[in-house]
Amino acid sequence: MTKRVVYLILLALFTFAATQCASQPAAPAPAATQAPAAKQEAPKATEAPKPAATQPPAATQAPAAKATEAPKATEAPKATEAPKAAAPAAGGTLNIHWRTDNPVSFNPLFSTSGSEQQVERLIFGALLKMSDKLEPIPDLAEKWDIAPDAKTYTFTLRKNVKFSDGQPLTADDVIFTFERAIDKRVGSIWAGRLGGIEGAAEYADQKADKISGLEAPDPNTVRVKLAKPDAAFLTTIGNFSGLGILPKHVLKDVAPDQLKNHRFSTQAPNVSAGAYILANYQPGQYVELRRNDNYFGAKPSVERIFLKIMASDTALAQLQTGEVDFVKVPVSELDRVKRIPNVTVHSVNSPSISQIAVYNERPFFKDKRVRQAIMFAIDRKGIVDSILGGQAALVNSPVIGPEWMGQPEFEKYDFNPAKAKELLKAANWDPNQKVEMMVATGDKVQDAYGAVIQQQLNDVGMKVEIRQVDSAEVNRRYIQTPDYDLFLFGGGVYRAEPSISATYYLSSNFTPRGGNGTHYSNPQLDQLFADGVATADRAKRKDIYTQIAKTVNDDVPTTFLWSPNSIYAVTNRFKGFKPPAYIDNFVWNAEEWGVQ
Amino acid sequence: MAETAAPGRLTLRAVPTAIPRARPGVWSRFRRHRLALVGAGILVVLVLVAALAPLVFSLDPYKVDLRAYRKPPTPEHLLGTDASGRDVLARLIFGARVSLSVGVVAVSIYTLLGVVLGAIAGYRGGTVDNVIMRLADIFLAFPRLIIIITLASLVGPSIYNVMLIIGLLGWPPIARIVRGMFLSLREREFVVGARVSGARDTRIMFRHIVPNVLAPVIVAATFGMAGAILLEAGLSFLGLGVQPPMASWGNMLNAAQSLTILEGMPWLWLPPGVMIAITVLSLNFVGDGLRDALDPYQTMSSEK
Amino acid sequence: MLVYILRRLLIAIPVLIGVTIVTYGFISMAPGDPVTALLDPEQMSTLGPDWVEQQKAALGLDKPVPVRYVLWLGEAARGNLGYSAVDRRPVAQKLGERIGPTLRLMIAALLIALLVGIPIGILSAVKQYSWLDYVSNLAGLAMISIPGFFLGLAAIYLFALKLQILPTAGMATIGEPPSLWDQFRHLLLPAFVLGLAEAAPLIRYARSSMLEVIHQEYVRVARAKGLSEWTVLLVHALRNALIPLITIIALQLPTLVGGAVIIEQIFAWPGMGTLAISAIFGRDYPTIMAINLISAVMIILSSLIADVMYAVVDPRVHYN
Repeated sequence: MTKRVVYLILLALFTFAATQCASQPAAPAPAATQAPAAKQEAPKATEAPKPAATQPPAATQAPAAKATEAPKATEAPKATEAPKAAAPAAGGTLNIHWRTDNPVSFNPLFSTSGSEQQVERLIFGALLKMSDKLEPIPDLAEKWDIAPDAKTYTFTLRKNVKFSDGQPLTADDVIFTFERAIDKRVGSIWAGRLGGIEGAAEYADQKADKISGLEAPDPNTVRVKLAKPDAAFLTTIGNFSGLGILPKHVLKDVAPDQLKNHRFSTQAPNVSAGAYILANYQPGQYVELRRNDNYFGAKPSVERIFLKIMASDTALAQLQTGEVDFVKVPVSELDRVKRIPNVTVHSVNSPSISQIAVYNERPFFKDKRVRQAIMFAIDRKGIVDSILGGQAALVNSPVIGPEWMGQPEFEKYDFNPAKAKELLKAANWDPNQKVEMMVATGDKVQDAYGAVIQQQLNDVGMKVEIRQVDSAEVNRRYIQTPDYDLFLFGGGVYRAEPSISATYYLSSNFTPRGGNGTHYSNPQLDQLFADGVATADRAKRKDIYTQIAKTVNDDVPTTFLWSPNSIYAVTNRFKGFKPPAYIDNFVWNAEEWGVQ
Repeated sequence: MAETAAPGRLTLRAVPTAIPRARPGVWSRFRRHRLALVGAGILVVLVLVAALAPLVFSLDPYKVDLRAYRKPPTPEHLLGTDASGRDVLARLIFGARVSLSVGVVAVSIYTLLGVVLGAIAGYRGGTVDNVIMRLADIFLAFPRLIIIITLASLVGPSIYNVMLIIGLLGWPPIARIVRGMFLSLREREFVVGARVSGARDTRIMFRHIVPNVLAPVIVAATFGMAGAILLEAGLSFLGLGVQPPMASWGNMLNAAQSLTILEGMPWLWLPPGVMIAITVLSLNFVGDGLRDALDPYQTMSSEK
Repeated sequence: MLVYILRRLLIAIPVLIGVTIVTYGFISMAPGDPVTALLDPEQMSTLGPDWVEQQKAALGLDKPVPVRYVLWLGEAARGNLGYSAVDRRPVAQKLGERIGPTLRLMIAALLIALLVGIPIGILSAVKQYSWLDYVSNLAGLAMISIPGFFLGLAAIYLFALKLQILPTAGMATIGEPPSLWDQFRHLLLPAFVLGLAEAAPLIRYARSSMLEVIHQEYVRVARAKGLSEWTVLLVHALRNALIPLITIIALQLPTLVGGAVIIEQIFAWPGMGTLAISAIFGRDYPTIMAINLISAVMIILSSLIADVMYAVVDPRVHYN
């Protein structure tokens, strides 16, 4: 009997050892578990249009970290620092906390989150990228020319840009990417953003086989003609980490409606033209990026970047032990993080706005005095000073920048519960009207001020209940089939360009088709936005957008709270980090990063 | 973690083949179990405080005070304030109401379900028994926490949904105990006697047999409550528990899930942590005591 | 004996079928198209919509639900668990990546639970109602009385940040060549947090199991024969008391699977638990259901194996 027990324990130990091996990258077990998948992929090999040349980077899909090193073997110098990551000088490794656990795709046409776009920004080249101040700076296009009427944009591509498989990147690839982005069958989130290009609508519905406003006079030039003047077009194509340029030679034979399902979108893009290539994606663990040796620019000094997947608390612990070099810091943890030795904290004004979307389709929110009452009822300054530790600036309209916009004068909505009660009374507010405030789960700072807001609205006689929802529910009730009363959230890049507000307040932009989630509609404002975007002269634009700011400030279709700071903590071995305004844009100068 | 309702489940398997009605001497045996006594005392105090304190003192768990952001204990706020400037003591006491009622309601639901289904299965036997028991097997085969969070995310989290989901999924172990005991009791003289005298089946089941199986069910329910309180805490961690601003010990502890608080603000994590621990411990001790008292011979049947 | 095993197998079959029916029920109730969820996106992308329609017909996916269920069952049995609704990767592949880490964590936790739980349980049975009995009971219960998410963070704080003797999270140091020692160090914290919580029921079980044996005839006989107390306990009592533990190990499995969900989340452990959470929040129904199905099958199989082993080991079990 005792023997049996011993056997039992031995068996357990053996199983343990077995799983130990199983989870080691090169071990056979994971391969075995993938057998069914492999089987289905078998027939594909014959049909795959991928040229053999593209195959080496495809090793990225192998679960083995080792396998990815195979194609690299050609580069002798790197072998030196392989064993220990601690090795200093050029060719080091950076560990970044990555804030998603479930990426949808690394194809820029389909990705949805800022986290995915960070990867795309590093592995794909785009026509232009956004600086830390959210101004367009050259990337694949070395320069561009804007016609005075703000209708024609001419991009001059760098010469000798190559994809990671060695194939040249030309204007053809740019046009291919735009075509796929616009084609309705593809279902890209970029279709709407590029809808202003002349002939886009016809091409989207396959009524034309070319986009009339898109042409390549020579392999290094792309000319974009817009149907209507748009002074902010560069911002449009540079936002969201830019529209990464896809390799036409890899994807041209994929049916447009099936691009979403293609391996390039579902597994990992294996041919790209950015400073890095996606070397290895281990779901639930990390994304490994490696320096792209075919990159057109100066060779980055960091050889490998790991984007590590974990919860925020865990990441803060890893910052302290040096296991990660970069973390976004929740303001509730700021004081503690500041005390960690060998860590530098950066806090910069973000372009985002925290706000409470008010669903204007609700009859009880139709009266603007009700919406103004909400503004007066909340002690925004009190919340910023306490819960947000002063790391935010109050905001009273969606037009908060850039610098040339200055500070328009208008209602400041200082905390005034008495006035809020008055306004509600004047608007005949029904004290029994229940109002539900949606709050996404998982943000403790937001939970804290959400409770304060709820209480303060109750204090002035508005019965508000909090409803915690997950992101899928937010997507359903705020975007897909709008059905909510209030929604507390934050984000956006308002500060970059005043015209960005049009996305959220144009009456033609109602969700789910556009970004107007409050379904606020004001014809006068629509006209102003149209005028603003058609004007190239800065002084005139300033006038128009000041008027827009005043209108929205008075109508408060959404409750403006504040613009929070972006707070980053980096270890001192991480060199060259320049804190950008927008948190998801922290990779903006990754090509210049280094490690000590 | 919340799955540590396990002690409950395990004891269920430690079911005696037959337990006589609670006999005299139960209380004296229970009293001998000192930890159980202490546990029972603590639970009584907890329930009294949760029920009465808000009536006696003016406590407002929802009142926010932005000047009192995460402030340590003062005479005004005996246990300090939280990140919304709310009084921790008030929230702790109101949280007791919520956490305890989640435990009681959820467990009551599944105990009732378990007793009824177990009784029917054990009394009827045959196909009915087979169907109910296989159903129980199916329910038991799914990892409980994953099914619960799936459901909670689908129907939307709220205190009532949490109670209902835990309640509807927890019946199989209880049903197994009851069924096992029914199998052995249904041929006993008093049952046969009742049947001969023409009593209806439902009457026999619920008037004659059920009182005889209550002892182990009560033991199991006691452990189950501890499990349900922990389960609510686990759901709070995932944002699927009791909804703010309503306080529960689980969502208070989850709000305190931060290195800053762990390191320097013990008034935020200690109170809910200690209350959960004390309550779970007390329930377990009482469960142990009850089991020892009701089943002095520590009989273990291997159930299969 | 053989008859018993066969009968036990026969009971498991309807349960397994029930589990698949429940799983499929969820899939067909869930939003999204369960039909295309079964087709390989890569083939869809290369072969086009006509092929999709053809395949739907070929697979009978245009048929009524019960028929589709049978077809789905066939696909599942062949390893096709469909394709993720979020990233369109094969669910079997997604699960395959996660099952190894989860098994590793669970087995380590179970070992810890056994090594801690059984000796303490036995000791407290032998010294029933002594201070040792109380203390061990208290200590064991204390571990399950604190929610795992908090215990996890506290463990990271203490062992990784303050004492600096263990890594904070993850399964291995990323970017370094895999080493057993490194992986072992990463395993310790999550396995202990998960395992100690599992130890409490084991203490309890070992204790009552031992108590039962101690009071039995043959132990008293052994004692009466004048054997030393330790010989009696270790040779005669212990081995019989341990038999039921086989069942316990199997019964711990669902608990472990659940516990792992939260522990994996805290420790950034790339197992099925973290996958389950992100699938649930992403409404990735094919993945959620596959996780449920696989876990259920694992649980059914392990209890089946436990029962059979129990029958083999315990001479007292009657097979008819």
